[in-house]
Amino acid sequence: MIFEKILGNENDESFSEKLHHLSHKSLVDYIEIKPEDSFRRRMRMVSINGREYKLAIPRSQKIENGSILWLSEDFAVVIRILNGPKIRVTPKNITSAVRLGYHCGNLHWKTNFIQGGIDIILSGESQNYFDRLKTLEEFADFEVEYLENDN
Amino acid sequence: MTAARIGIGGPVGSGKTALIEQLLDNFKKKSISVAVITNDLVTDEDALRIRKSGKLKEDRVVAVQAGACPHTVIREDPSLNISAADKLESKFPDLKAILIESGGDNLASTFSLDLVDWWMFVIDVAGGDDIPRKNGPGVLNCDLLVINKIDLAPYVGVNLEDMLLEAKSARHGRKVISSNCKTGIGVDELFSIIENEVIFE
Ligand SMILES: Nc1nc2c(ncn2[C@@H]2O[C@H](COP(=O)(O)OP(=O)(O)OP(=O)(O)O)[C@@H](O)[C@H]2O)c(=O)[nH]1
Ligand SMILES: [Mg+2]
Repeated sequence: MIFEKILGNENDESFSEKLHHLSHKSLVDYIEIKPEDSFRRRMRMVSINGREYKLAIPRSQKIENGSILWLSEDFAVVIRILNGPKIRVTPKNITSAVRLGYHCGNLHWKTNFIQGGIDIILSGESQNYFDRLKTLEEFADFEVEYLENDN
Repeated sequence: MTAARIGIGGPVGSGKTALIEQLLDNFKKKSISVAVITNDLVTDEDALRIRKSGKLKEDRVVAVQAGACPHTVIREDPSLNISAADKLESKFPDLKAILIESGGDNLASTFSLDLVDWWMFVIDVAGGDDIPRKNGPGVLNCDLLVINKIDLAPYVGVNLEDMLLEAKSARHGRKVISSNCKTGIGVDELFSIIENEVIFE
């Protein structure tokens, strides 16, 4: 089965009731996507029930947590984006914060800005990230915390 | 359905254009409609070469000039390449795949997934068997690592088997393939991987 467009999100009012109904009867199949794969518009995917699907959505769309790929009277397919592990970095002062932001940008890391710091979204080995942060220690003062995924 | 956008990156001279020329034969054999975008620094060299090869109608080969470091137009701001791909798709509605060759770059170059759906990184045996060990982001993050020019291994003192093992271990088991783009060894296998993973024919 190939999905060629995202129909909506499970949180959209127009879909939520119908999906709720289907999920009570176990008629919703979920596809879990790693955070780094959530940027893809075309790929093979396997659902939690072991079904194989293909994705080939338009360039203008992007999958999100809760994206609905299929919805009929008796079946639905919904995306779950997994929360991968993160590294939370908290700079101790403004100079360090600027250095840190510049460093993450230079390395093309995917980050989320949070109050007082940065969450680095990991792709691949966490050690690669720790190694790169180590090289910054000489120039900036910050704390590093590894956060396991909380799925 | 949209056409699959496939990135081909890797160091200068590793055999990216040679690989595309080989792949074009496979596309032809299978009658799968394809187009090519080449990226060169300030010339259309690679596009001219592919047009001259006669393997693809000339108007299906488009050149984008990066003007600066090649990775800037496949990652930081890929809008030139995205626009070239969009134009190809509207000009040839039957397109199933667009091959996008990056200009030769360093081991840190990676493709934005806004530009491509799937990408490979081509290194070559003559670049040295230590390349996979250096953990370059291009080598680690690509969907497929291609080790090209295997015919040259005896001349540059490289043990190909060891190089492949090290590459697989650096990539934690993700796909690695070896090829000779002069003769086409490994290209059929590479083509079936592309077909299966992104072309969906
Ligand atoms: N012996 C041998 N030579 C090869 C092979 N593949 C490519 N070459 C040669 O290597 C040289 C560079 O190949 P290209 O295909 O131009 O390499 P490229 O990666 O596209 O180069 P840039 O676009 O300039 O970065 C050419 O002379 C090719 O003929 C191979 O498998 N074996
Ligand atoms: Mg080339």
